[in-house]
Amino acid sequence: MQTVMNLETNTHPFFQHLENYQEFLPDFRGYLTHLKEHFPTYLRINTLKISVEEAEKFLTRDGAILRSTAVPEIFQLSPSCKVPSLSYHLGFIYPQALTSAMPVLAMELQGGERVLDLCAAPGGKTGYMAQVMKDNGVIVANDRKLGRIISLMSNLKRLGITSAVVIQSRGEQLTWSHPFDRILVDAPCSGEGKYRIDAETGRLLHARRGRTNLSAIQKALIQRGFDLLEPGGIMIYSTCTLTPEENEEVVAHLLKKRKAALVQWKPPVESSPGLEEYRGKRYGKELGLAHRFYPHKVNSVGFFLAKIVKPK
Amino acid sequence: MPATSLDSWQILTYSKQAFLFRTPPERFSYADPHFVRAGLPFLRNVAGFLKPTTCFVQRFGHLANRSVLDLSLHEIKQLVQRGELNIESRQEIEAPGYVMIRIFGNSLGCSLLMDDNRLLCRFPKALKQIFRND
Repeated sequence: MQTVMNLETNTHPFFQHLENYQEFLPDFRGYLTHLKEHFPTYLRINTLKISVEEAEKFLTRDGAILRSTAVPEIFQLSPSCKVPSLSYHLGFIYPQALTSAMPVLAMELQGGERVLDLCAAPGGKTGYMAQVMKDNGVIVANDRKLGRIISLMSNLKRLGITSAVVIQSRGEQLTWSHPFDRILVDAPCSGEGKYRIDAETGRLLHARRGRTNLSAIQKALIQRGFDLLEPGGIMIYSTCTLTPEENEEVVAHLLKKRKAALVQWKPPVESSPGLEEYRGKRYGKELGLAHRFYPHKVNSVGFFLAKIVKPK
Repeated sequence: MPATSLDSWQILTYSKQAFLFRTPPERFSYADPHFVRAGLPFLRNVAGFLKPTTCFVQRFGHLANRSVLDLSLHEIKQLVQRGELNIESRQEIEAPGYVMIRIFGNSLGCSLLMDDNRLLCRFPKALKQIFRND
């Protein structure tokens, strides 16, 4: 690999992983180049409060220049524009990564379901779920930490959502009196999909430190989520990291422990299949049905997603 | 707003507030010791009067069919910056009482209309800040 950045001056573990990621990252040089670019800002129109057509007019009046994306209610904001403050405070928009919409789209929500969002804060995906459901049904939005719960409640309030129940508990220990039709486990992770490199200094930006026990926590969360799922129900496991240890390995762990199955899903943006094996660890053919969204291919935060069903 | 507008919702009261909660599916039960909040803040007791919350107004204000005032951006800035605004008498709006303020046809929040045609700003701090900064 031709050195694009000075690995010796960067001590974060991510740089040590990068060489290994050449095995699966398509267009590796393109990925390295893209690392130095800023992610675009995407805005989701909150159709509980305003239609997409009216929002476009309102946002334009509020100073925004928008470009449509593969998801009808999500727009890319021109780099020269700031997030329009009136539209934001009225709850007409929610700034979110384009790829973070994928878990919600994969859930096949119709409205009327009982949904559990196991790691909900700050509420971007919770809000999108409520929007897709037309605020019909119920979403139990859980998170562990009080500070994150407060920002979750603030976002749900601003978006005008009436169908959410907010609870605070450790997701891996959550119990409930009945199963859920849909569950989202958007697990805490190392966040490599968000990492950027400062083009001038070469420093790693948005990097997370600590939480070395992530894989164990993720395995406990996915198992607990699956146990709370109604037979015939759909669970989405997602992260915004690239490492297979927090992605395919976690899903493979569930498949070993429970009668779970991955299912096919076609996302509206480009993705690569999940890895069936990596550096001597075999995850299984089924993991090929999972999806990897790479930053340089979708021009958004990197994501992993597995759509899982519980057989009836 | 029409009497049947909120038929699909329940009103929950706790923490000295009323919350609007979408009636859940029959198969849902929400008795849980980790409960923090359900639904959208709806009404608050302000000096003995029930006032609709700003978030309720912004979500459901389009259903209002009386006590609505459409103001221009300039008027809203004056309302926020001075704390009050003199408006022309409107017979169809009962004073004193809360009125819903709209901008560009969109519900913004509530203000209190006095019987001397003074409109007193009752927007929350975050909303006032937007009109102060512009």
